[in-house]
Amino acid sequence: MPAVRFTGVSKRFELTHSRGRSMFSLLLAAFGNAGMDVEQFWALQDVSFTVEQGETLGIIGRNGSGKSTILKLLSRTLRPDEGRIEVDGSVFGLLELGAGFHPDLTGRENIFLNGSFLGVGHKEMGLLYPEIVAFSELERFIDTPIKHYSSGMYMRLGFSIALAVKPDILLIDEVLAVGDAAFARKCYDALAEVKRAKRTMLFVSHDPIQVRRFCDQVMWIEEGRIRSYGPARDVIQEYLQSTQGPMTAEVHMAPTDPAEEGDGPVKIVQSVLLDENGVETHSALPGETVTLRVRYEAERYLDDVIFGAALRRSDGLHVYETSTAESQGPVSVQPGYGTVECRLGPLPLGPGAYHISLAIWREGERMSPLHLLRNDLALFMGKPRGGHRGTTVIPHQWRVAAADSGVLPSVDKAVKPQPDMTSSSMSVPWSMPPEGLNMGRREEEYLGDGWHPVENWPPAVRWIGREARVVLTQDVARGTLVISACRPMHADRPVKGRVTVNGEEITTFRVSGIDFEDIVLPLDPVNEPTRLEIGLVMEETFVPAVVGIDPDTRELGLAIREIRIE
Amino acid sequence: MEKSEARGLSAIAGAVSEVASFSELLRTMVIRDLKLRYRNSVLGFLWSLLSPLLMTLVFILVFKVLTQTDIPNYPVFLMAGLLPWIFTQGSVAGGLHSVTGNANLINKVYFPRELLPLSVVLAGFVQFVIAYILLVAVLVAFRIELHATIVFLPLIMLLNLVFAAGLAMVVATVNVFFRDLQHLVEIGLLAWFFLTPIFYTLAIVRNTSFLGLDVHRWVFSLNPMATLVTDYRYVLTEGYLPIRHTAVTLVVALFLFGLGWYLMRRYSYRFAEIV
Repeated sequence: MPAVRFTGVSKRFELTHSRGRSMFSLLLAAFGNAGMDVEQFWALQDVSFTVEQGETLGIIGRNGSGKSTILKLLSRTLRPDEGRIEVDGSVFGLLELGAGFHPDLTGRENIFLNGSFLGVGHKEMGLLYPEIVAFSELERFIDTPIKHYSSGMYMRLGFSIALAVKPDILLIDEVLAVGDAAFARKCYDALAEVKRAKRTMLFVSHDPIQVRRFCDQVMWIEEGRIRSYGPARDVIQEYLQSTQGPMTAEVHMAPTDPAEEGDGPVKIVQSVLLDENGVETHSALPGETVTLRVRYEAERYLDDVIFGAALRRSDGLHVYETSTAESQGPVSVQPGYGTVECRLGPLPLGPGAYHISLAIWREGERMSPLHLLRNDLALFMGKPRGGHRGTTVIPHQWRVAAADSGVLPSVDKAVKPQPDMTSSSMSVPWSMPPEGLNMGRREEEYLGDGWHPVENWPPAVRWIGREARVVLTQDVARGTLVISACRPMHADRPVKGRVTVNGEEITTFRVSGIDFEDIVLPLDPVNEPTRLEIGLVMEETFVPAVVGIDPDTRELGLAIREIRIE
Repeated sequence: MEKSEARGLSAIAGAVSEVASFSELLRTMVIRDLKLRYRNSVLGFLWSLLSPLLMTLVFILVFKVLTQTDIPNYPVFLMAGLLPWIFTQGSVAGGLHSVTGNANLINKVYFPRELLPLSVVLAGFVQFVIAYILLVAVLVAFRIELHATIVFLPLIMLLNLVFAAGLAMVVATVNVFFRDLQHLVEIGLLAWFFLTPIFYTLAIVRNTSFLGLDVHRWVFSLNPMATLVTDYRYVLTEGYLPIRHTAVTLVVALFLFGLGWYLMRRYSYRFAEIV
């Protein structure tokens, strides 16, 4: 037996216009006056569908189309006027915020009250209680009346209960739109788990992205009728095409619906986003790194293939685009399967939904790709607790000067701008020596890569690798090595390392200030101009973030203004 | 005919078993109600004892001091009738808003809607029983003579409970569809209070006629509350139970309970649309 079966279900509402139900209207009716202004409104008309056990059905449609009525019928708060509803198993609906909560009761009391609404006894609920509290992260507030809760906290409590009691059929109605995104992300992961566990879910949303992520089948409801029903991808595409008509065309800079193009000899067969632990993910927090892994299948040998990826925001804004052409140039593929990975991050993206499009093309034929999957992957950027509004994440650091004389410090001095970039991927590494950087006489190019320009600062570069090497020439008359460096402003600790000359360690250094300081080292005198390979080896390249936005470690680096021999 | 009767019976059995399966919820709701009643007050549960005490004090002031009433043991007389009145009145007033005031629940979770008025009534009943036990204890402490008929006291309380629950379910359902009821109930309760021999004895209206009607007969016979209030007093201090009047009240109470239950069953599916 399927989990849910609707057979010809209709639901009618009576809209009484403003007069309401009063004795007056009753009297009017009693005297045969039909002026009660009752309008009949069919919220659902002849709706039939089945949801199999373990299936996830998404219901999309505009506000007022009848989506929520379906869930209310399922949760038995409404009864159909026509048709039959069969449900196999226990149903729990997360319908709107704080379903069944009483504002004057504490979180703890509401958990038990909610449990008994679901037919879960006090004892049983007691066993689930620790799990619920832990998931909701409301330990501190659990004995506070929930009228003092924020809407996000309501949602967290409700969601945690729904997860813990494990109903056979879970109804979810837009609730994830509320609350902080870090928790929303946790919810998505939990829902993905529910889906994996093959429990039946009905998911109502007007956001096709959310639906697409979880649902196998999608039902599109319009004006109380089923407009379309089928595999998620098809129905959502149809839905978006209809909603993004002329009216919204100006807002949407590009379509965000999934699409596929191209039928070339190289095809994308699988695409997945991985988190830093290599686990599949659909979400990330600003500053985190994700890896895009694309598995392709090639029919024959090609030596001029370029893999590209583009990132779009859910409103269609083209955020970023990159391809293997930038670093690798065209690559060759062998017949059979292969994998391409692209590490993206730290992601400077503000909260919201993003899509990643993937493409494979031959060099010079970008406009007619071998295979293009538009908006193939969804990436949900969360909002770390207590921070971040806006569309992007700008590395920054607040500094507040202590008032000393009662005179307000000028704004300039109170807040120093961040002089360099936090992350290597935000600026393009220089393969050539940076202009304006006086490295003395040099005969060789810099070895290695990883130099970064430091913006808004005296000409300098920042080295973020473990080891930097530069080749300089020592003249007969010169015998002192000068390294002018400082620690980057965002680092909260001194930068330590060693200096090597021709691979031999000659000293250790410790740079603690944020102003440039000279490290002066005597060199052995030479009889003729000699090439020296000067190396800087960092003791550590990452520091754990203590303050600031990035939840994980950050690159430490060293800002170098000058390396010279005099 | 026979068939439909059988179906009716099985429907009742189904409804009863459904409510029984939600007994845990009913218990939780009663506890919730009790907790909420005095949540934000300093004295908390004490108020369920204190407020009838203070009311009694007011009545004593008004009737004993000002009108020099000659009812013996007037405080006991008052308390014996006032407590059931407070319970019944609270049940009606609470039941009235039990559905309309819980739109949040009605719209979002399913449970038998009868539980809403029933939980309010049961919560009031718990307070009532505790207060009454204390009253009896006080009577014992003050060596006021009690009678063996006190064993009937739980039965009368149960009867009172059925009556109050029936009434609460009726007004709860009707109020969803006709909100005018709340204003009528307010006036109705006031009138009912005066027409119930709580602070006076029926003796003062004996042989009184008003517009040619026998006041005693009308007030006493047509008012189940009058029977109940006097029943409480009789079994407590007179050692007597008026069987005939009580039986009539029992029939009225069962009828009201059945009516309330039926209305709830019949119309509760529309609550979510209207509330």
